[in-house]
Amino acid sequence: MPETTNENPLRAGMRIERSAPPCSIVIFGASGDLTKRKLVPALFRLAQERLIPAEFAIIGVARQEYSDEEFRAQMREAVLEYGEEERVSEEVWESFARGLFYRQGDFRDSASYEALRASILQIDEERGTRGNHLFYLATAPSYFGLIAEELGKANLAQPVEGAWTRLIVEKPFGHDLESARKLNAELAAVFKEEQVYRIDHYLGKETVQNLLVFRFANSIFEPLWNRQYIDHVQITNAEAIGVEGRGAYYEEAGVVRDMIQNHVFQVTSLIAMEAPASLSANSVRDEKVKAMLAVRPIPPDKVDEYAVRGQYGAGYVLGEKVVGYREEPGVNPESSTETFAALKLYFDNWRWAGVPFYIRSGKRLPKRLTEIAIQFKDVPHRLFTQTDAPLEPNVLVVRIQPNEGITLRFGAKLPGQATRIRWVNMDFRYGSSFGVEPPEAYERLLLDCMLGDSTLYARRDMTERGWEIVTPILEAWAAPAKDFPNYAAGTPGPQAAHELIERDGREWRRI
Amino acid sequence: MRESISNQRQIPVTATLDVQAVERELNELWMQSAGASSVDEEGAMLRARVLNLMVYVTSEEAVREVDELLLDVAAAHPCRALLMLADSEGADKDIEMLVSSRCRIEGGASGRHLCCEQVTLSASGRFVIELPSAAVPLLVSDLPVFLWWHAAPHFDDELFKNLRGSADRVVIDSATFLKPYEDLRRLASFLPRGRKEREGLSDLNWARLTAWRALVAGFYDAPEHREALSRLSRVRVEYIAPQNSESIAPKALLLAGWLASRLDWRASAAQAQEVDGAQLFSMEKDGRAIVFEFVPSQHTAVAPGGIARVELVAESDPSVSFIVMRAGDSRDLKTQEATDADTRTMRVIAGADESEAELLAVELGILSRDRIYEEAVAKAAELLGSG
Repeated sequence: MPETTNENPLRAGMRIERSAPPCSIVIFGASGDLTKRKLVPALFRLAQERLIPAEFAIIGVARQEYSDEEFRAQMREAVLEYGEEERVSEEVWESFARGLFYRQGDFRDSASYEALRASILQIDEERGTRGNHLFYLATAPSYFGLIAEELGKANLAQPVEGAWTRLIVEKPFGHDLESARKLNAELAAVFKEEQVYRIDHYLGKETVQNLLVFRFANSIFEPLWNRQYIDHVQITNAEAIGVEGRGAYYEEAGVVRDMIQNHVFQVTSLIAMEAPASLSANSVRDEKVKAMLAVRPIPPDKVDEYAVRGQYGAGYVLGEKVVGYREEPGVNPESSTETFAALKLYFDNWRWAGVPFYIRSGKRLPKRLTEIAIQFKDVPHRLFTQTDAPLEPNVLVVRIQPNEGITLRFGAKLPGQATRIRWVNMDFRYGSSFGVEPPEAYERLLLDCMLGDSTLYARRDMTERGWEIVTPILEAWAAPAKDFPNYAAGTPGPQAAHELIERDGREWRRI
Repeated sequence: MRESISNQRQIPVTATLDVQAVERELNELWMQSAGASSVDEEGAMLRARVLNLMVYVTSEEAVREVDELLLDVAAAHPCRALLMLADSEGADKDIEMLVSSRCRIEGGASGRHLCCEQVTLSASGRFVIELPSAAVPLLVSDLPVFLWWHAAPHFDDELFKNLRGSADRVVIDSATFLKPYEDLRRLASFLPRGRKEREGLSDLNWARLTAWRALVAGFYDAPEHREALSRLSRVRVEYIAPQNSESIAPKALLLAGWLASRLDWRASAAQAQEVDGAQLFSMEKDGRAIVFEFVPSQHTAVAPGGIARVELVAESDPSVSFIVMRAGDSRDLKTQEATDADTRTMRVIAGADESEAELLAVELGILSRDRIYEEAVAKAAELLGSG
């Protein structure tokens, strides 16, 4: 349960019940983009919404030399540029900025952490944060283990009595199963699992959270949510963009590491999971992991039957000519890194036996689209044999982005003397039903962490399970791809991806 | 870029009001609105509704105001709005209906398309009392019904009682009270006690207090400040006098009622007094006297009926006060802790720009009863005494 301030009689029935307790937030990698674009604007917003108390501090740590004042000035610009506010009054900013601090430090130098510790304790005292600490690792991933270890050595990893210490770890979480296990072990040597919050910003998205509401707050879908009624599931995560200047990073990653093993599997698990006993963090995460544990291992010698890789060549995306992946800056001209992957997964359990989950994710596809399509089985007996079109299955589509919403396709009689059937969509759109903007994912996630609610964070076993599932694929794909590039930018992936699903007598939905 | 499309049709007055005709007209209006722009890339016409909103108004001017505001509210709560204009003072005129659908397109023609369907019913003189029978059949079944009383409520009014019976929740604004003390006492006796969960009541004036309450409560999240709660001896509330009234602003009374009910203070036998323009009320708990001071004040950034400053004082062992106030001439809110030695500013946050549409949008998201509010009203009435 999150900490509450029940002892304060004035808090009872307050409309903002989720306000965070006092704390210091220490951001490692504070000179980076994430701090400017997401973290500090999100924290400023939370402060203006009175969701974090007056007693809090943000301490930025990075290698560059800045004074507190310089850091504050940078953050003010960041809030105006990337935050929601168009203007911030002097007094409001001053009040927020008094809680902003910067400490120069070398992540590899133990002495830095000693100095940091002294600073934190002093700032705790000054700001009245009551010894609660949140460490945010927004650095290059190679520092994650090291910083955790040094925090342990500097005696910063365990809270003093009555306070809490938590650690948020940014993505990517490991490069493969081995490195993820190693990183988990390094974190576990210093922090308890309940102190570690592994960020997956997909889980901060309102529509992803809505999957739980959709499945478990409605009684009409769950009875159909199994092998009796569902033919197969398609999960699509398509991007129109290429690597956007991140070529060097992407060369080391590829779509399986970058998207599938983390974000796509998180979404998959929410579709496949059983109903949790409660909404507590571990109850929900137990069920998600349990579902993913049922994924049938892909035999190393049969990877081709279950997975297809692709890489885009030059082509046209949304009316614009774009270069192929191998021509992107920072990319090896003979690169075998996959920019597209299609997978077929089976869940070997009672609910899903025999129901394939087709998953695809890629860059430079025709448009940006993330959706889950549940395709139901055909009717058991065809009454309408005279109709001009073949019967089509019912499909329930949960669209995550853009135009978040839910669509159900069903057949209806075309008006007229003859019995003709047309397939119509019943649409629910968040954007049209609720015109309000959902909160930014980082606001939700940061607040959850301060409140001690890790439901929307990835647990150790989930991160490792994700890697386990994709390991045979990554190993098979370590071999150079002879047919790359095998799809033109702006097309929905390589021919082999179509064959993967068509072999089973099914087809991909149009992107 | 914001652009709106508006379509409307008059429904002819006939001997009996034809619900089918209204529904048919609304359908056609939707088709027109949808045809007037590319609704979205798939051409789907979207007609989502999550609630019914009945609005009671008493003047043409209010109709225009509410018309404008409903588009904003519909963005958060797509609804069927039934706007009832009741001019009971005017010459007898039978009910007239105007059906309209208005859509706002956000970000140009390809952007989001937010629509609101509305039926405006107007009647005057003796026909006013017939409004509910015309409006209620137009409610969409299966959706909750909100009644927004956009006027000073008369709780014993036949029309109010009648419409309230069809509503799951009533929204009032205690800032509109014409006789604040009497109306607050009347409200206290009117609020449901232990009745159905869905017969709740929302007060926009209470919603305006949320920021103040949160900041006051924020002081006592710190355990070291909490002990001061049991030593408080004086609460000073500076308010801007409501329009056309000499009385204490209802918002200030609600704040006092909230504090007193949360902290379990009781009205004491001592009489209310007036000293140098300030009104003093006494309360007590376990033999400790607590004085509420209501002081009228001037503040350029605060609208009539608003609060400029609240100070909670523990006078002895050691003396400390907790202050929430408007920062300078701005809408920003500042919190301070003052001791004999010094005054420390704790934080300044941007004051929320609470338009009526935003306040209403928040209230429409709430269906359960707000017992904290109910207790605050009861306590405010207790504070005012029976006089």
